[in-house]
Amino acid sequence: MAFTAFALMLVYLLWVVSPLLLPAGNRLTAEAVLTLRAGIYGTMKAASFSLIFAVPLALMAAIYSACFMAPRVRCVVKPVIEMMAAVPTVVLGLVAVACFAPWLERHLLVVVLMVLLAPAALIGWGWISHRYGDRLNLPVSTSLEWLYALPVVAGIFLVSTWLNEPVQALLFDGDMGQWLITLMGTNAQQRNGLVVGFVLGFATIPVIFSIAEDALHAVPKSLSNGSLALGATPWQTVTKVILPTAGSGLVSAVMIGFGRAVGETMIVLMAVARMPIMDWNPFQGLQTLAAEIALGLGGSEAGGELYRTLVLAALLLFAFTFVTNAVAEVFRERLREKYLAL
Amino acid sequence: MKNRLKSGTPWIWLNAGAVAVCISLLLVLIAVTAVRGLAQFWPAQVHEMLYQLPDGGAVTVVGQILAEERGRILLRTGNRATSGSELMWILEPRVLQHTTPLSMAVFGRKEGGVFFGKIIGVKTSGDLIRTRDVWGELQARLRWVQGVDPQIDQGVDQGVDQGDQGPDRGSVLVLVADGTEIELPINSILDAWQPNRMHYSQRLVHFFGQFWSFIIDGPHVDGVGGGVYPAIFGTVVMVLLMTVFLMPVGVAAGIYLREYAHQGWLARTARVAVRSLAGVPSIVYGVFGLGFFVYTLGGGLDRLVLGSGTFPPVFGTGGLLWASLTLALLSLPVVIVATEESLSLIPRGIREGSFALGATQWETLRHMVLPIAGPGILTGLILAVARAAGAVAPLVLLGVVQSAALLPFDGTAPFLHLERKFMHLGFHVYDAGFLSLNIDATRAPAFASAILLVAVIFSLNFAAIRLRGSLRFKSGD
Repeated sequence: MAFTAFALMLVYLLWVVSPLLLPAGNRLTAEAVLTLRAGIYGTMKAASFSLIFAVPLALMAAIYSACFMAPRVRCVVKPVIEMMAAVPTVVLGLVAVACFAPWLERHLLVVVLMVLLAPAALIGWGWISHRYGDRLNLPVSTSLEWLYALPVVAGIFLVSTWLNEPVQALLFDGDMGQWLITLMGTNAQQRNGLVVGFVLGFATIPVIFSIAEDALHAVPKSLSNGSLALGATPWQTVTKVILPTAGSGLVSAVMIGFGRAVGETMIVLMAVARMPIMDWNPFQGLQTLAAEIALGLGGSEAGGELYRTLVLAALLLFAFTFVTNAVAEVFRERLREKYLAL
Repeated sequence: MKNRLKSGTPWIWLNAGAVAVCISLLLVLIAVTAVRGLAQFWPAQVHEMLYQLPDGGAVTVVGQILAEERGRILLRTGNRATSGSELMWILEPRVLQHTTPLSMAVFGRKEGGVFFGKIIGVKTSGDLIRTRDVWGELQARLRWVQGVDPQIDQGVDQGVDQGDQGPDRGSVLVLVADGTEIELPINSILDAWQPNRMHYSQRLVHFFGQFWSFIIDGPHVDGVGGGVYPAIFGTVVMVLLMTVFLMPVGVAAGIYLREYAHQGWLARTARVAVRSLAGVPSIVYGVFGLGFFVYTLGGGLDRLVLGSGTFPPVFGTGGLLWASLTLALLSLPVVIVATEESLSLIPRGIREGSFALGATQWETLRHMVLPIAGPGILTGLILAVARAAGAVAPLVLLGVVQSAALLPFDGTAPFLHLERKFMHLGFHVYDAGFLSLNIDATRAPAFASAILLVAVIFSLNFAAIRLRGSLRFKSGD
């Protein structure tokens, strides 16, 4: 019965759009084509921006959680990060439109500084604690580094915020966003592609994290123990043994995350100004297929031109996410079989 | 140095930093939502300031300070009916005098938001009441309104407070910021308090009282302020109805796929398909719900039962039934996958032992397998419910409205009104936080709804995690 329902769904969507696709039917109007093209372009733009933010964070967090955390700590930390997926997207949209977009307008430099300084500080801190840890009695216990990293990250955030205005005044005539916009020679929106990238990224992180973490954690212990026994350091074991083994799992995690970002509706609806344009400018608005459907379908006449166009958009979304997910699932299935064989 | 980097400890720290960033992002998000959502219930001090205008003159402004930044102050001045806007930015250096008078009172009104002013006296039929304790008199009259007014009881029963005024109970004379005296009818006042006089404990009590009334009251007539009771109610009824549709179908499909289906390529394909369906965007399910359930099924039902051309449509428009059916379809893959996975974790020995003792497949399933897999299936169900409670995109298309006059479940037969439109907490967040025309006034309630929604969904998830944890413990993993 369940499968009939899903089959019915596909058949219904196909039936509605069939007049548009069959050679004998009435073709799509130029307007509809533009809506679809701008929608596909915007969808890809928003999803790509979100992945630029989400993939490094999610994969690094997954590596740490799967390979370096003590089981007891992992039992707590993993559900906490997965809880990010439980935050309703409408709440993310609200925070984006009411808090994050106005903040980012004036604190773009803080984000840039964070991206530059935080990794440097963490690597430096790791180096110091490794080199002088014994002498200074610094915390070097494995599996709790993330706790000590919390104040480091918070401190870098405070430093970046403190540096924000002086550096902007010194280098960018007082406003970095404006400086960049003038440099690129475009106009800008407060709710732009950058905002939607970050917020959509927030929604994508837990999806990628969860799947990647499972794949990394399921790598048979005999492999990593063998590597460690041969004298490889833990990090060498991770990069040379665990990551290559679980590689296809990581790829499928990113694919499933991409699928999630593509179909996200409420965040895009709220966090970005709706603009039917096709460029990769992060300071411009955009429009996505999902948001167009949510805005337009309710008011359109059933069976009309707009209605069919939007159902076609839904069908495209369905096909794209379904295929992406199916391929990712096949990857995961293969990986599971590989692990069983090892 | 090179060797140090090769050993990798610094890179491990980098990865640990990613975990820290993810956790901080989540905490910051929740903190921001909670602060912006809950601050409005706190009885903040009301300030009276003498403010210099650019032309040299000075005016008195009264209000609560919402934010201070870069020498500017955001003031909530209330009194919407008299002064238009509810919020106001002022420049700090221009404030000549700054006091917090004890006699300043705040009034929560049925219409028009909060009102700030000093009480002069209480009037009945045009005359001032001669009493020393004006505040006590006002409180007594407010209690009288609430005690006698049958409206309060009806307000819970009906989605929106209809705002009928009861018999005249006098009015209160208030001195507002610009020096004029304004008469507020006591019937129009919900609550009055003097925040500058309150102790910390009184403030705390008031805070929880306001929060509670946000949860159990209906919205006010003008759509601004009031509570979200109908939205909570609508969400709960929809989710329960959805679970009724979802549970039997989802669990049965999972059991069939794992226990009965021939484990060949067909079952494997079906498994991959179901997992992929879990990743199909919710808006696609919404499109199907609108097109198939509402227009085709609902429209057909209308034509069949009521004859063609019925207007307004009964089932041929978005409503509770179609919304919960669509959400059930949306969460079906999650439940199927969870059911399947918890069945696959059961050791072969248990099944084989049962078969060896002569039990049939059904008996084995009923008495051996399901009791063990139960918590796992329940976990999946809870997660699906949590996912559905937070899904708003399909509901935008499917009969959720900004304000519904009637609740979907009430005392009149047939009690559960499947065709009614309803309110939803998540949609309220979208509507009040984004669509509203009076965004300054409605954003705070939107954040309050958001934190309620987050609280509900997080507690569902915690329940699922606890359940999963106990499961692990039992199986000795």
